[in-house]
Amino acid sequence: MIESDKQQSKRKFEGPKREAIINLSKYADSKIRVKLMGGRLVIGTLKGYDQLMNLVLDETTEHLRDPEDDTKILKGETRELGLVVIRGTMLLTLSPLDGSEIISGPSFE
Amino acid sequence: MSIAEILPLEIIDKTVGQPIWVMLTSHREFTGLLVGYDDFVNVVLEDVVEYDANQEIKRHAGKMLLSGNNIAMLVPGGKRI
Amino acid sequence: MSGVESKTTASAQFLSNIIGQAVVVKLHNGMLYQGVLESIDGFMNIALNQATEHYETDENGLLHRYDGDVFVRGTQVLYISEA
Repeated sequence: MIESDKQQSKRKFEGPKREAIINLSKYADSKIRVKLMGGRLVIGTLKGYDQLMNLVLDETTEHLRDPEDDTKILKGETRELGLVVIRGTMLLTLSPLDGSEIISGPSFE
Repeated sequence: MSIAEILPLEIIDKTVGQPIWVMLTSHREFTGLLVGYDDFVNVVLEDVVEYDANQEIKRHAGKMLLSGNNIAMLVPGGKRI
Repeated sequence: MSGVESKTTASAQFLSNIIGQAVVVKLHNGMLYQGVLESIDGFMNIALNQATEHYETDENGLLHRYDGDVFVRGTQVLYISEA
């Protein structure tokens, strides 16, 4: 309830238009790669989302971080999460998996 | 392509009364029964097991209010493996 | 919002139910406080009475015993749980 009040007052500031800068519907049912605050990395099939960019992913795989260094993803160390809800507040980057590939390099040991 | 298929909060809502697995931005995770949640996705859990870096560190018999501030992901059904 | 949000949220209901009870509070830095919940507000600011302080779990040694009140800043609270 407080949230909706907040949204309304925001709307007054920003004008009536409030569209996301990216239309996620084009990724519906396709694999996306999502980075979260704190370093978590997940790949899954986009099944849903809302205006706050909360996401629903299915067949989700999490790529585990180095326990010593959260910025480092351990190659080949993954776990299957299945259906997950991702908080929009923690979302850092989102990209289609299609058309990108993992390159070898110093940042990916 | 059709618009917004499944709403994320709808999934959470359907999980009320069932096991859920909550992951924070850190290596900390919680599993338990989802009692409820609010607009900020603070969650109330019951019979919670708390993990850090996949190690069980504490069990909580009663209810717990977990701050939504650092919740990154929620997995309906509870922790696997 | 759908369903669950009738008048009071699950979190508000929980908070009003545990006032005066023994609780466990953990902060983001891993500090664990066990005590009697004096009061709590919507920001999760918390006042405890007769609290003890441990790191992560009460199996780790007692770091401090507070005979009076302890105030805990809501922004640092990870969870509050029934003891």
